[in-house]
Amino acid sequence: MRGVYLVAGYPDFALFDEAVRVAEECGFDFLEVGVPFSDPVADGPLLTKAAHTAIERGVNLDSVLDWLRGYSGGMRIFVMTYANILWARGLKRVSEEFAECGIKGVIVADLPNEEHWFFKEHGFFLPLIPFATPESSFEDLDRLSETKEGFIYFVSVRGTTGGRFSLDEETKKKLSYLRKRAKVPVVVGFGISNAEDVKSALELADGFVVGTKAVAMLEKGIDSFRNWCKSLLSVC
Amino acid sequence: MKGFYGRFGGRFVPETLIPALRQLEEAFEAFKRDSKAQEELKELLERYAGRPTPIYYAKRMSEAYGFELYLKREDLLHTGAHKINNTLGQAILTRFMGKSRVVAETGAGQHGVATATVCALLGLECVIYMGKVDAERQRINVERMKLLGAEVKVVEEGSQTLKDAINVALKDWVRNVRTTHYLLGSVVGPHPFPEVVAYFQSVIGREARSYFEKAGFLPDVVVACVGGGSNAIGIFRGFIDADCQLIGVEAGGLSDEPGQHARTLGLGRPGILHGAFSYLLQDEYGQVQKVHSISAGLDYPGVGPEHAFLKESNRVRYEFCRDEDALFAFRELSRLEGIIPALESAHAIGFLLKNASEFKGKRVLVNLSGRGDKDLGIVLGGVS
Repeated sequence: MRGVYLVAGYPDFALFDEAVRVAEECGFDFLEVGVPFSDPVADGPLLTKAAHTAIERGVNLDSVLDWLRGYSGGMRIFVMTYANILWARGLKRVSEEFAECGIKGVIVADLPNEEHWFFKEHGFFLPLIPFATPESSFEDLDRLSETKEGFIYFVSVRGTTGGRFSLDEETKKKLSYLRKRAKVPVVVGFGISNAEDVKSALELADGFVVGTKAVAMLEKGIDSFRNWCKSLLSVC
Repeated sequence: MKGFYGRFGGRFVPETLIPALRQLEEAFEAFKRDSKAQEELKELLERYAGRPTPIYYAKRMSEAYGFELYLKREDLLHTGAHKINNTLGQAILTRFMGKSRVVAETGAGQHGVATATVCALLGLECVIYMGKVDAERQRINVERMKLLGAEVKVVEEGSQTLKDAINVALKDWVRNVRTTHYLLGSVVGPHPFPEVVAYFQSVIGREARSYFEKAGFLPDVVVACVGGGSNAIGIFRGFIDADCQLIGVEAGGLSDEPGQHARTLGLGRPGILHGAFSYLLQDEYGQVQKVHSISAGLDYPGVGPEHAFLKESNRVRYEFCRDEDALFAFRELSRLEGIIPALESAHAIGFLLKNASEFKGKRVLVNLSGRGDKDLGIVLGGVS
């Protein structure tokens, strides 16, 4: 699984839409559509700023849903956001709206695995992508390996988005432990920015997601973004 | 449900923090069973911080306004506010967990100073995050923290106030979770923070209750200001089972227009911020709203989940006090009693003065949570 994260409607909807098309052409097979939140505690400075800019420019769940309804490409789509964005919409209503758009699952940065029940109890019915981290215990990993839908998101670094990609031995051990047992793909994210990172990620996991660097390259323009996508995926 | 007050609370944080929260929960339980650690805290609270604090009957104010006003003098504590009750407790927990580094957020600077103080006392590395707007309006507290050996990091993202300081402190914690304890300053955040902070602050209510029981009567009304809500929970816990009316006073700012107040419980609706499901000032899309208060300590769009529960269960009544009424109370208490209150605490007094007729003849206890030296610049200089 080769995934790219982009902030919806950033820098604007036209460029975002073009970037999605370019990403698919270059070989990405799934897209995480970020719905910006005012207080993104899991994001580093670059994505925080992008979220604030997008909100200032009027990006909201209505405009993101409009884009999602019009999407006709072939990538699998997941939504990535924060709990309050979905809560404020109504958890039942938002899962119906996402389901109509063919969304495969939702990644909620501030909804840890043990609070999934809260979303489900309030009517959320799409797959919630669970997280593994370098801090997960082996007990946690055993529980995670029972996941039946979507994929498992392995947050590969201690830190916010945009950090450096380097896995210590203990983390590698946890990753391979989980991968052996999991019934769904294990995808690593956080800190991947170049072909070298992609290569090492794919040795350890079933896929990867790249976010901060993708948004940074898109800020430089669609050509920079295209060149970077090509070079990134050259090792796949 | 564990970690919830009624339907409010929970642990809405990135997965990376879950083990650290479990560890804190274990340390907290171990602390409660450890009589030696309890004794150490008690000793520090008495000899270092200055507990117990007195209850003072404010005679001149009472005569002027027609009710009996009692003040719980948390302003007399070391560092000038109730915040030190919690920072001493959590510093001991930090050592329990074998961690050597502490991060904290601060709004008015009182929690930052109280954190820097206990870190100096116990030899812990200390980093304080403070919004740029707050650092400018509370410059003296920035200097105090530096003098105490803390590193003060000024936060320039978002609204550059308390909310953003919490965001950045949480991010620091995510990066450094193995070595670092996040010493959260209010009854907000993910479980077990609201309970940990309430536990350490409930000493206020215990002392006050015991004072009144010895005096042979109880107050009719207990009033405290509410930002995140730690001083209010601290005093309310002493009277929650008593036949006393409890009133929490939020910052009414300039008006009820969005962005001009911090009336989270009064005008917000349930939402998820900083790890907890509680009340939240937000727009229709769930973006957190801008807030305003003349008091940096109340300038926060969220509130502790226990307050959300106390509101919905109708145990506590939540009111508000505008900037100008808080300023009036600030001057009035100084003039009539020789006590300069923190602008935060002045909101509790301001609400009473504004509504004095309602409380005529009643015994009213106010938690005077901090002293106001830090606020002279704002009051005199028109900084807001």
